[in-house]
Amino acid sequence: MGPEVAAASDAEFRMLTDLLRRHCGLHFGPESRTLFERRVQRRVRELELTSIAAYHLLLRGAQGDRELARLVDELTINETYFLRERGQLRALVEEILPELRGRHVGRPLAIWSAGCSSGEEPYSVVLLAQEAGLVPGRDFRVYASDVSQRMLRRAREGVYREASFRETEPRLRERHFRACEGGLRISDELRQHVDFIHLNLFDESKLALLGAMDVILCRNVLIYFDAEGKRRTIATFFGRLRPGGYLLLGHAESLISLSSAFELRHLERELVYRRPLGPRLWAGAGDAEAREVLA
Amino acid sequence: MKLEFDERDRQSVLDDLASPDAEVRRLAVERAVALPGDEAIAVLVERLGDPSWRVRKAAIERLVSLPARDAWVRHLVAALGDGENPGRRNAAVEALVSCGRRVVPELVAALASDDADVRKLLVDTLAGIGERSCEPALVAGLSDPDPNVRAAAAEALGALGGPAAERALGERAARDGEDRLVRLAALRALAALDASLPARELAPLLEDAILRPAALDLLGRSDGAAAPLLLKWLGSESRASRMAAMRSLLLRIARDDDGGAAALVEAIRTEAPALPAVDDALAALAGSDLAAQLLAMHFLGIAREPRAVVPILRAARDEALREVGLSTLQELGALAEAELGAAWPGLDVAARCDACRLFARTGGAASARHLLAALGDAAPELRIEAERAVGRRRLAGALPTLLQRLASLAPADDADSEEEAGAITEALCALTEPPRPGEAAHPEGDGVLDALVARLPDACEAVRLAVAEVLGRAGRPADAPAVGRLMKDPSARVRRAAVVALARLDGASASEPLRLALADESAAVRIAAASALAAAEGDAALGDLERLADDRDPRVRAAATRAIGRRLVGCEDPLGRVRGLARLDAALGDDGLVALAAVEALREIGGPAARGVGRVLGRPEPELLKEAVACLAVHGDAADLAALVPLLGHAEWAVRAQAIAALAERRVVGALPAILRRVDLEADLFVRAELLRALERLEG
Repeated sequence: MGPEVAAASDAEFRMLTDLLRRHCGLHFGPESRTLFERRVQRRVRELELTSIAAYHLLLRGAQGDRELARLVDELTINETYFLRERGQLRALVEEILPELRGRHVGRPLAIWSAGCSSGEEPYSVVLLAQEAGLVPGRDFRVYASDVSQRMLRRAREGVYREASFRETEPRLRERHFRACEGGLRISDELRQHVDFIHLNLFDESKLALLGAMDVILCRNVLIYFDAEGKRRTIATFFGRLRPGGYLLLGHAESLISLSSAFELRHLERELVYRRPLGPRLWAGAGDAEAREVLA
Repeated sequence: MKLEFDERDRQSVLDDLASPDAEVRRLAVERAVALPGDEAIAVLVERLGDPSWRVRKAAIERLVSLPARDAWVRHLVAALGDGENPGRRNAAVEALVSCGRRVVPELVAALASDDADVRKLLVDTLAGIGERSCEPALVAGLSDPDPNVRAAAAEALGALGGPAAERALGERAARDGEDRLVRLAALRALAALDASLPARELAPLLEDAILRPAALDLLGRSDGAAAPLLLKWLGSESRASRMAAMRSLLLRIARDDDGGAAALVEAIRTEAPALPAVDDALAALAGSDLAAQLLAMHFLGIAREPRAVVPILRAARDEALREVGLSTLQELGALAEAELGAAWPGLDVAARCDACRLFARTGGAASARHLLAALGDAAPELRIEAERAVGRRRLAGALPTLLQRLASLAPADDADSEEEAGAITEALCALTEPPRPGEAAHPEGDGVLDALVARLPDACEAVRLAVAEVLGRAGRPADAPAVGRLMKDPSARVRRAAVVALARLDGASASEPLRLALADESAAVRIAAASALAAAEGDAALGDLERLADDRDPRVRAAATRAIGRRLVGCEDPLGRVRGLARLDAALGDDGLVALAAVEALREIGGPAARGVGRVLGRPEPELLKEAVACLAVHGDAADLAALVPLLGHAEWAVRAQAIAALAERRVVGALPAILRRVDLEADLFVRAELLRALERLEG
């Protein structure tokens, strides 16, 4: 590890956070400055640089994209767990998917876990859907994306520590996981039904690789974006969803003051957003398809 | 600014004040100050009762800015008696409080009012102002015929304090026949002043359920006779009383320095097991009230309650409770170790991690066994905690397992492996460190180092890397040959660590291995060697660094530039200085990273040489410009500083902000017109703030 690096000045902190926000929407405010700086300083030392200014210079230079990806890895270590906000996942499996299957007979439903972190969310979807008798591949397909390459590596490995199982009953653990070095490994039966992709939600060219979706889960991700980043991302989701498709946000998140393009649906125990079946005036901006709706 | 008002304007204000729209009324209040003196006061005082808080707030602000103080204070005091409109009354209190000490004489005089409500509000207002000189008036308020006024006076004295306050409050609290609410207010006020009453005076108050919590609270600050009373109330039937007694006992123990504390602790230990207070504390520990959890931790620790060990450990997962929780368990020592040992089979991974954090601080054999066993656990988070703990405990017996673990770790870019490798390396360093101040010598230190060196020939990369780092940290001259071998390691990471180690062992001599490292194929190794040579003696090192400043990798050139700069700080060799400065000057025209290193180096060197950074002001990299401006702010002359003025219009906000700060710091008054012009144009909030600070400095 390289030499000590001085703390970032206010201006340097803003220069770095501006750069990240433009790159992928991640927003870091003063409340997260200490943690942010610690992780940035670690990268600065690892690169044998001696100042935040030099690091900023490097991020904007020829190798900047690669280092930006690495920095995002450092900054997005977000702990999650299986069956988090389980009521919403149950609503997905018991109410949303049956309704959509009734409307789209003959093709698997496409579910996208946007910001999947280490994979607990997409695997939870497959697990619950399977438990409910749905057949992966035939009835539904799960796509999962994250901006962090490190998190995606973990998700693909599918090895989890104890903390990931805080909401998982022993019955499900025993059925779908087996002990291995480093924790519990998810069964191949579940693992093979999630397609992982490395995706920056601001990268329009890569987003085009994804087809139309029936359900998008983006839970506890928007909280890391500023208002503009949230609007842009919601516009992207609107464009990716088929008419009548669902958007599931975290329990602490909502579209208030972000978009009026979606309609709020009251399920039995959950509130979720749905892209209207017919055209509806789009109040946000950004995604090409959303703009088409407006036209 | 004085407005010219005619009758039409006046009527417009009065009409708007009657508008149903609150914003219209608020704007009318702002204009009302231009009404003739008495009318303005009357209108504003009336608006204190407006249904909208915005209008009330505007009325307060306008009213207290009027010059005719006597008149509006009189109106405000009169408004205190408006029993029909509490909003107006409260706004009057707020307005008077905002006036501060300048209205205290009028308020004290008004205490002679016949209206008890007005007197009470006046007392509240005086308390809000907090002016010491009104203490006698408030003490007199304790004798007011109305109990509400007396209670308010007691509360006010509790906030204000003063020599007469404690005496008067004590007398009021102990007075038989006084209203209970007044006595309660007096007791609480004494507590707020950290004062108390003799235990014999507090004892009768314990029989009154209303006064009891406050009386128990004061017993914590009272004389020695209070302790038995508190111990007795620890067994009370009321949970609130037991918790209050607990709090006061802890307060006594914390403050008692005449030996009484030890007796009290002993008494608690003897009596607590049979008391329901222990169950209260255990229940509080599992709750979410932080203050109650802290109280419970302290109490259970003093009581040495075995059942509390695991709950305290769990509660200490909360960062706010961690230090208190672990210190409490550390104090329990063998008791905590025994309880955790017994509970160990039933603990989940998270709880075992907590236990390892504790075992890092304790010294028992049983905990050492648990730590050594945890090193082989399947859960990486537990292994990592155990590795850190054996390092802190310096358990030399852990060495074989630590090395085994290191050898079995996955490639370094795996986050878990990286974290664990770091924990093991830290543990190995701790095992070899000299004793800390006040710590007994541990003879195993050298033995551990020798064992590590002996394992090198067959060790895997992770072990060799850790050993290189440990040898560097230990700094033992005898290990130089081993470090030399590590510098020939096939792994660049190991070679880099070895270069750092060698620099610590023999940095001043610029030995051949260090110089050869400058030609290593790995940029990281060359960078480490450049840093090491910054401190090396002799001309040869400078020559080497000059050659390295032509390296193909800009990060290496930057490192060489920095190293040359460090050699120049305080350098007295004129020839070496000229050569070094020429190199730095050339670096200013190099790649951004190299130029930035040169600017940083010149800033550190200072003097006329530092002014050379002005060369980069035309370059496009904002980071570079920012550093150059910061350098000129310290070392530039008048011409250099004048060259910064055009940067006030630079496209990058960071450059503009730095230039403004530099001009302000050096008090370049000539830049004021340009700064003022920029104020009109600047949209960036950060830069605007810098502009305003600069104006304040330059104009002040």
